[in-house]
Amino acid sequence: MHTRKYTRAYTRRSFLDGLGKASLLSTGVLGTLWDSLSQSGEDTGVYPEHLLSLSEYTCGKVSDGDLIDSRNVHAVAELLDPIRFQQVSAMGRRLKTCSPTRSIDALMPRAYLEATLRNQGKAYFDSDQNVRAPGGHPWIGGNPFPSPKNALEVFAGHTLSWGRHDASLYTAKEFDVGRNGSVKYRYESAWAEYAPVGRTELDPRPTRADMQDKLRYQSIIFTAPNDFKGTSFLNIWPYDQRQFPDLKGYIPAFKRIRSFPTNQRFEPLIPGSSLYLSDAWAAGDPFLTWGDYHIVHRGPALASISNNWSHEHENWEHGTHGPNGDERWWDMCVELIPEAIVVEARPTSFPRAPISKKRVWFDARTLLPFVMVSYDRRGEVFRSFDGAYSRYQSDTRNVMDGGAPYWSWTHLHAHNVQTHEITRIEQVASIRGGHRMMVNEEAIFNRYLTTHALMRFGN
Amino acid sequence: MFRKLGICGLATLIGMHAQLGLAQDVTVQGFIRLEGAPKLTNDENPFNQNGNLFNGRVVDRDSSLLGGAADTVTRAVPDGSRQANNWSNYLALRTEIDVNAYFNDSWTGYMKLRGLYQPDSYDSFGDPNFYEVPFFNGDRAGSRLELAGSDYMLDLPAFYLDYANGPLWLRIGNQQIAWGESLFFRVLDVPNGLDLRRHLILDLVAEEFADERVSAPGFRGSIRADDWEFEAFAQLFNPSIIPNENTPYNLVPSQFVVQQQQGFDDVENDVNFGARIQGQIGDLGLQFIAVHRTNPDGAFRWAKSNVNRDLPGAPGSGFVLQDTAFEVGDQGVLSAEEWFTYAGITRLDGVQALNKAISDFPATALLGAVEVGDNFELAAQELDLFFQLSGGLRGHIERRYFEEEVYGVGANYIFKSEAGSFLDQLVVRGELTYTPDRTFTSPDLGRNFLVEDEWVGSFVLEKYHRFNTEFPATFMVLQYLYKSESDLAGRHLSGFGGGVSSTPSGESNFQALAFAVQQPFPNLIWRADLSVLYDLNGGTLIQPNVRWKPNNAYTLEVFANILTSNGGNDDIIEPLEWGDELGIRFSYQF
Repeated sequence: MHTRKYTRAYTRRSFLDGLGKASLLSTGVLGTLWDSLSQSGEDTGVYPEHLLSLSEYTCGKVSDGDLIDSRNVHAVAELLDPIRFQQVSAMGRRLKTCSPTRSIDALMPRAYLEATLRNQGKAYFDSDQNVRAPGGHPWIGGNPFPSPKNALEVFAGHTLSWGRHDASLYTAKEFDVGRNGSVKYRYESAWAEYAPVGRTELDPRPTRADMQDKLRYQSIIFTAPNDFKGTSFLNIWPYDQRQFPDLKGYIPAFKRIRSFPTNQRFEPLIPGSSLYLSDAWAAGDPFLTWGDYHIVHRGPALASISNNWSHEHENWEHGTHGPNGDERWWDMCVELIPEAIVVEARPTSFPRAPISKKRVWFDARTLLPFVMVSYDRRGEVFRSFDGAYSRYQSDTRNVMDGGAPYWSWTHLHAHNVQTHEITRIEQVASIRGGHRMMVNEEAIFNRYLTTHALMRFGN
Repeated sequence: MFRKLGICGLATLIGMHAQLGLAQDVTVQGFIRLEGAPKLTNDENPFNQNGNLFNGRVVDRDSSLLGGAADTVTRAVPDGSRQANNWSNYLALRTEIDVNAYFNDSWTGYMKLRGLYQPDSYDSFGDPNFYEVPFFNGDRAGSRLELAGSDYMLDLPAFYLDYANGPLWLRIGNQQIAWGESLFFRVLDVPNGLDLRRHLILDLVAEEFADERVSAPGFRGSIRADDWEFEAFAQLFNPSIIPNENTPYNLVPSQFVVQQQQGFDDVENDVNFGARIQGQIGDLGLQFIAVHRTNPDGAFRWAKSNVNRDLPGAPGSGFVLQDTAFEVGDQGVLSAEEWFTYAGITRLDGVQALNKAISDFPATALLGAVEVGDNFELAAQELDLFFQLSGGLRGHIERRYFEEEVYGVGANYIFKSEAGSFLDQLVVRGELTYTPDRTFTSPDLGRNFLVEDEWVGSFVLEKYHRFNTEFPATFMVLQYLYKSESDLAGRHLSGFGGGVSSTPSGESNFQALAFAVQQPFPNLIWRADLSVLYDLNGGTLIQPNVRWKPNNAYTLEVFANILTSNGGNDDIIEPLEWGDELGIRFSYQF
């Protein structure tokens, strides 16, 4: 029980105080967040009550289970980023509110959490600003900076392990929505990620010696529609975050692998899409190719961090809604998180990038991003990216990741605010061509992350 | 036609059923596309009867030095009084259906069914035979898994199983093998020949012969270790397929009869095989290839006509003529001027070709023909004499195929410089092949083919560059090609430079430049391309292209092929200079 001395004003001052010391961030209001999480697995005793209950925070105007729409969105305006606020207030988006998730175990993969706990305090930045483990080795798994002291640590920890798994294959459906709300393009794709370092599940752990100079292998292979079937791109990320990933691609019409220059990361891969490589996980580029990291905001927020698995649908497909009955928005469940950290960064290694900066909202407990807003070169809001996560577990159905329930992203929006074109993507159980979601299977590498694989899928 | 289509469809279904019955997941996708190429000029293909440069033209002939006389001749315009007046070079309805089958994590299958129907809208001499060639399936199809009629073709350019297990990959079945990474130029891309029946090589340049490369049954596999990959293949031989006479993109003058069947039958069961090693050393990518193949392009030479048709007023002469390279017919050549004109266009030596037609076929001498050495005037008189006597002679040539070994090396390097600078991310690539004892058509069409060692090399600069923040990056590529013995079409350079009044002067090498730029617009719904091929001897192909994909289902592509040459019979564009056209493709995918 917290007394009234921890008022909203106190909370606000506490968060602003953190901003004033941007290079010495300390998460939590009443105590140190990570201490609580690492000891109890929850954020107990770290935040005052009004940050733990949506009803209390809004003085009863919005409660868990309510639907947020244009009629009541003003009650939660300060819990939303400006783009989601605009989407709800003016573009027919609705958000379903859910009870807050307190257990950190439900907010990330268990193996990743255990590695974070096991390896806390061991990470440091070397002279090149790359994250190292004791002895100068590549990072050894989990989040290297679970209690970040600055914005760079927030971003570095997330960039090292996007999906928090050693290997993932996300089978996905994409819907590109035009200005009038109708779906103009539909794609199906398989997105693969594989970590040679920082491994927590796959052997050898924590590092594949033959690939220890690599951080990540990542590919995307389009399987539908017909004219893009087989189009694929393979990114091979050096561990050195100052270097651009190697980018190879297979265009079926050419029947061959081509090497693409790697700094073209701010354009769609396929017609109609509003998603760029640079958008991936809100950290689609090596973190040292961006710079000027700083924290611009801390405070409570509404985020889609759990209860978003569409277990009712056999293929995990999600419902949609929109004004005039169109299919503009995903149905998403949001919950109050007591503290979000908003980090701003600039694309310092991309002199002709169409964006000048981005702001990314992280859940302070998991350091997982849930919203990104980017700005064009004039400083105007350009695009937004908001995603949802979930543990894939319900009363009737579970998806397992070894001995634990599978945890992952579920669906996302990428919204070009200037053209009002929206890309919706959802993770599904399977797509055409026999591809199905896979997690922590070594076979993902040979099957999806080599040039052979690209050629094979390209026919 | 529909019976054939039905048989092919049934065969396909039976084949697929065997596969699909075991498959856990089957995906069917495809498209229907209307393809057209309206002409931009009134020029006709000079290799066709209706486009013959001598149609309706009064030409002097003179055989007085050999006891004949001087006269004139006018090539009658085929089909009565009509001159060809085609509005389009190409009009076809195409469908492609892709079937993917997933059996398990190691085995997958893929089949592509391609069908084209080309209505007889082309004004030619009689009904054009667009697709039938005497290779397979009753000597009517161009590849093994194909059915063809004069106005349709239905084939399976891909029909294979894939096996993947760790670093091992195998592909078994009918397939294309594409090596190398160049527009226009095929340096390392040696495993497969080209099918030129549909739209010659005038499809979108960026597609790099994807629709033309001829597939064949074979095995292909690779294994990877660290940064190196070893790949090998063995594949049945399939020749390159040239357009038939009197079809829009015909490349062989209709005064010739091309005998393809016997030469092909001799090598039908040949197997090509080869290997490639690819690897990375730091920022340097390397590849090495070695291929043993039967050259799919083949080589041509005079052949016995086997046509027993008498010279006018000379009963029994046909018995002799059948053992020569000629037959009597008004589709044939009518004058020495026509002979030498077409010899120049086709990169042949008109004088020596006459000599070889006599020396390689002794029966020719029985008709009174004599070799003329290097005497151009005497050759012209002798030719005019025979054309006066015969009323026209068609020459018979045969196509033969020869084995060869191709050794190649390729390297690429990506420059890194200040971010955003033009040098940053510049890709530099070089490819080089050496083929010892490659066999070429001799410009004299003699029995003995030319055999030379050939070097082929390319140098490529490739760059994606973002010029501003509003548009996606622009793709640019600049390429240089060098060939030591033949041009882009494989014609030996010693036949270059001839004409109506001279024999070929020859060229010492072939050099060409290619430049392409692709500019996608925001959201990639629009894309504009420009591709240019420039033969350093003065020929240019310019292809601008605009692509529009407004939604999932429809795609519209509009492009143009602008061909220019400075003449001289020494560049690769001149024989196609007639072909300026607007290309249109409208696709609906399902």
